[in-house]
Amino acid sequence: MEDDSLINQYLSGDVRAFNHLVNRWELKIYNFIFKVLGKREDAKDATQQTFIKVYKNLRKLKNPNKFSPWIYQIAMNICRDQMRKDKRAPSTSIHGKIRTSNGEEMELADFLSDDSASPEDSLYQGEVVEIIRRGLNMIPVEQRTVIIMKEYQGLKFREIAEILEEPLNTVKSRMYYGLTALRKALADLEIDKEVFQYEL
Amino acid sequence: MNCKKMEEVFVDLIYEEVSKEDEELAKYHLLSCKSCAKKFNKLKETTTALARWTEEQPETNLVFIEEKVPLMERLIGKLDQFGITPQRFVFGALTFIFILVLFTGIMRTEAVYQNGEWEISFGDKLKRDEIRNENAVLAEFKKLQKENLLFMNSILLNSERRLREENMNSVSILANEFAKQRQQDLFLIGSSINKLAQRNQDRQLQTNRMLNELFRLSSYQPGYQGSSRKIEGN
Repeated sequence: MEDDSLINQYLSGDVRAFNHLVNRWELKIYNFIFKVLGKREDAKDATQQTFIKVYKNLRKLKNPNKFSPWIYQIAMNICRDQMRKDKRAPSTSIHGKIRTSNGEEMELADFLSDDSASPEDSLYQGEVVEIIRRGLNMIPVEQRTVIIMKEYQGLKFREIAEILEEPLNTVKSRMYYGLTALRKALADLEIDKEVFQYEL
Repeated sequence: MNCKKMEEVFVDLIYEEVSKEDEELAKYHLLSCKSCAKKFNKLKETTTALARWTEEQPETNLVFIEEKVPLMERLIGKLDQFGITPQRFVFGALTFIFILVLFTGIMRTEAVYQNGEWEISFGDKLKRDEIRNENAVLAEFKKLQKENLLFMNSILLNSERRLREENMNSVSILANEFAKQRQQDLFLIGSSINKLAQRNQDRQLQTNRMLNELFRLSSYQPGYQGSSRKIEGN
């Protein structure tokens, strides 16, 4: 069943329809917010806030077909509020701890500059995620948002433009420069293709 | 396609959102331009790295709504499905009611629900029914008028009788009072007369005694035997 049908069902009094809608979008929105904010607890709170806002304002949504851009816009606004609250500027820090393949916990910067960590050492998934997260945090939030929407949410550039209310070319440009900046950030972190075990 | 234009289509190419024509041109350019090919590969590597961050499941369900949607909101939602706003619905309903009232007024329509069936009357039939109803009402009115008259008469008679009885009682009580008073007065008068008579008699005796004494004194002479005259008295 499509989103618009579920919305119409809910507006007609079927509460279960809203729960279906939540179940359908919960994971997507949580992961989107988590990748934008970079903190699980903040992401959980922001996801809840998003669905509460959706619940309160669903009747105001004129066209149920536009639910997808609408919910992303709500999530984006909540992320912006959260970032403003945290006064979180794009971080250039590479401080933090990761767990290495031999089970030892060490500073990310030390790990990256550690000579003993040979390129052949593969990182655990959690560590890779941590590096990507940090890399994404090093680029401007506008570019990060577009990358997350495109790469992880699988949205078309046209849809991203609609959500962000920006011209299509601006979105593509942010994507290109964002990827370039991310590549540079990862290079700064001395992450190379061996670390990620690329299969090119 | 030149290198500047290539930058614009890199991301389209990676995410396969490029037109067939641009795709061919871009691929051709990448084969001939090492710099662009290098840039493209680096971008592709970055997106491949990004793909390592897979979706994760939150620990618990985040939201669960139990609240029941109120009837009015449900109705508004239903209307909204047909593109009808509440304002438009209210306007439509009022217009419908107005037209219905106007129509029934013009057609002299009457709808009656009787014995499980609706009976709708128009025009002349309604007029005949009205006349019949008027006669029935008139007869009923006369009957009620008569009943009211009888009722008022009975009330008046009862009131009059009660008044008369009350008057009779009052007169009888008054007569008894008068008789009693008269008897008392007579007794007082009788006793007063007796007392007066007694006092007169006493005074008369006293007078007689005084007169006798006077006569006796006036007729006293030596050798006078006295008068033979004597006041008789007690």
